[in-house]
Amino acid sequence: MKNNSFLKMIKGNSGIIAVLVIISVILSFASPVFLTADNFLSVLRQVSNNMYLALGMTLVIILGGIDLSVGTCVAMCGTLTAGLMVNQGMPMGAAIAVGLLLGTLAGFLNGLIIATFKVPAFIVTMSMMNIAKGIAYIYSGGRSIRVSNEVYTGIGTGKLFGVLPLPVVYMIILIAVFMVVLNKTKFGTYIFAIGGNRESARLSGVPIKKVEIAVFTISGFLAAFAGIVLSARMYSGQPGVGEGYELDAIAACVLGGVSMTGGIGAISGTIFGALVIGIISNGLNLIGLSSFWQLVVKGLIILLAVIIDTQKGSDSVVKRIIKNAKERA
Amino acid sequence: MKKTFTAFMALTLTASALAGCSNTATQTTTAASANTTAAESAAPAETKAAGEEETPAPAEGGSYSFAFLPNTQNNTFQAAMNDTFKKLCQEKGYDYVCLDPDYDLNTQLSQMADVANQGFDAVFIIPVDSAGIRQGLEQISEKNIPILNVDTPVIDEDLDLVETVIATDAYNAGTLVGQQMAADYPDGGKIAILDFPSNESCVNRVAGFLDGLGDAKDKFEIVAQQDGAAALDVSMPIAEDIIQANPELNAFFCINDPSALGAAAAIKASGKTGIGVYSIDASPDGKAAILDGSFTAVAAQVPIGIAETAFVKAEELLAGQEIEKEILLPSFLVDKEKAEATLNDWQ
Repeated sequence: MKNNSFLKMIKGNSGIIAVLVIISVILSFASPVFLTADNFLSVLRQVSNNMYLALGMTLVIILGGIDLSVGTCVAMCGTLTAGLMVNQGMPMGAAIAVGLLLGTLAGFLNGLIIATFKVPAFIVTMSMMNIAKGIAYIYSGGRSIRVSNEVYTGIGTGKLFGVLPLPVVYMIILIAVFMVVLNKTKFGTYIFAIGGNRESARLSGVPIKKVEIAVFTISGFLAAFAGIVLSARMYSGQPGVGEGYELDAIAACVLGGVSMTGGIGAISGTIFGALVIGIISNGLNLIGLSSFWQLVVKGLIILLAVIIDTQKGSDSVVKRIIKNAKERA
Repeated sequence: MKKTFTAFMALTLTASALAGCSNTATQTTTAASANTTAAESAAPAETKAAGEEETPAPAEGGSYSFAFLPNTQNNTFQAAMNDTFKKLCQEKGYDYVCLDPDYDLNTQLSQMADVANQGFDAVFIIPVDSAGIRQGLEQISEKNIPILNVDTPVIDEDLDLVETVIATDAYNAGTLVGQQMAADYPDGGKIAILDFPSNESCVNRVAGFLDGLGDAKDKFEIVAQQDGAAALDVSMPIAEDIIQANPELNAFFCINDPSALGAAAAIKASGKTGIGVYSIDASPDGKAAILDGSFTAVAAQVPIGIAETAFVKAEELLAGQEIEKEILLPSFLVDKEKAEATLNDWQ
């Protein structure tokens, strides 16, 4: 049974896994360091931040929505948590609680407004994106806030058993939780139902409003969590970070086969999507490709990956060309 | 009618400037409404106080109005300049406004057009893009408002439109760091550079650094040179990858403190010791890093010095004196002692 679902997961993600393998093989030839265990952990650590956001984004996109506010919520929550400790002298636990609550509240408001007033998620979360950025700047005066509390920075820099970076541990736990939530709970089924066909979901008695609010709230919470872990890793709250993070999260989802129109997607796909993005950045840095070329190469690889992934179900381009050639012959 | 409107504009603008100048509301015309709402929600007490204190001043003789157009306020560097200008203007009872384009060239151009129309006595400007603001410079000069270009110079072709360029000697700062590294590693070593090629000053810092290595240059091998975007969150993963790819790396040279803090965080995360971090800025964060040992050496940028010099030069200019076309303020290395003395400030 277990084996079966594993095979299904592999099959469902065959396109993106192929991309991952191809890139990895090329990079392992290009750089001797790429395949080392140390670098593997380094990649996982770099991927973790995007993964937190992408997990929430997966739920949001399957629901048929989008959440553009997560990037700047990272900045808002990281900056405020750091600031409440350093400037206001709040105890660490309380500051983290307030930080998490703030992001959760932002997500809740997103969901509430979207569900109540039927305003497109794009507009609501874009407004929240600006508001969160504004709050981070207003609170900090645009300045970074340095944290010297080693217990706090340990949240982002510590290692489990002296090996596994804590951000990676959180990532593994969150992935497990989200897989269960999306696949094994009624809540997960509701998300697919609403994203697949809103009207029939409504007629079948799915509590659309509640689910919508819950999904955006979860996304906000994850953004806050990402912000706190990142600020711990950076030894500082930085109001300027986070811009564009939402796009990386969306890219991870779409690369992983989550449909932008809603109703289709899986956590496993998003995981591979985030890994591909992370490995590209890491690999290009290892090779030492210039930063400007990296942008072009990254864009091209992501584009190519999506094309390969969308072709996996239907006849592939190559097959079609061969077929056409045969017919002509 | 017109007078009341001007007074209202002045009031809201001062309010916005004092509210921290940090919101991205942009054109002064729209800023009137946007800023008041932001200011009200952000710091109502502060705004009121500002309004009461500052509005009566302008009519008196010998009073000027200055505007500061930085490239961003999301940096303690520009914030320190803003604080200095604000303080000096308050002392003399001058009007003062700061407009933040948040690294958006288009926004800065509209702010420049607004400033031109408002008849300031002098304008201090840090271009968002050295080559991109000619149009705005022309609009301001057409109104005979003198422009003092601070920190990041405009391109040579546009120098005729500004009265003077006042900046830290970026090349000199780079040289100092290069010399320090050459002294720290007499046998040379493998080094990585995190640069920021889209900023002229940062390009000069790298050039200065390489020349500063001097005769020892051949002993150093640059194993990686990447764009760290002068930002902590961008530089950190790049530095992690560089450390992975080059196990024998000896040191990083980073063009500013945020970038260097990213490298320092990456080094800590890798668990390696003995990789040096060389930086330019000596911001409050950078000084703390010097003290706790995560930076090896840092050369100073002098935003407060720039702002003070610019303020004095603007007054001299308005009093009819000639001022130098280029004023480069020398940098210096900040050691632990100096860092301790001015820990929470720029210089």
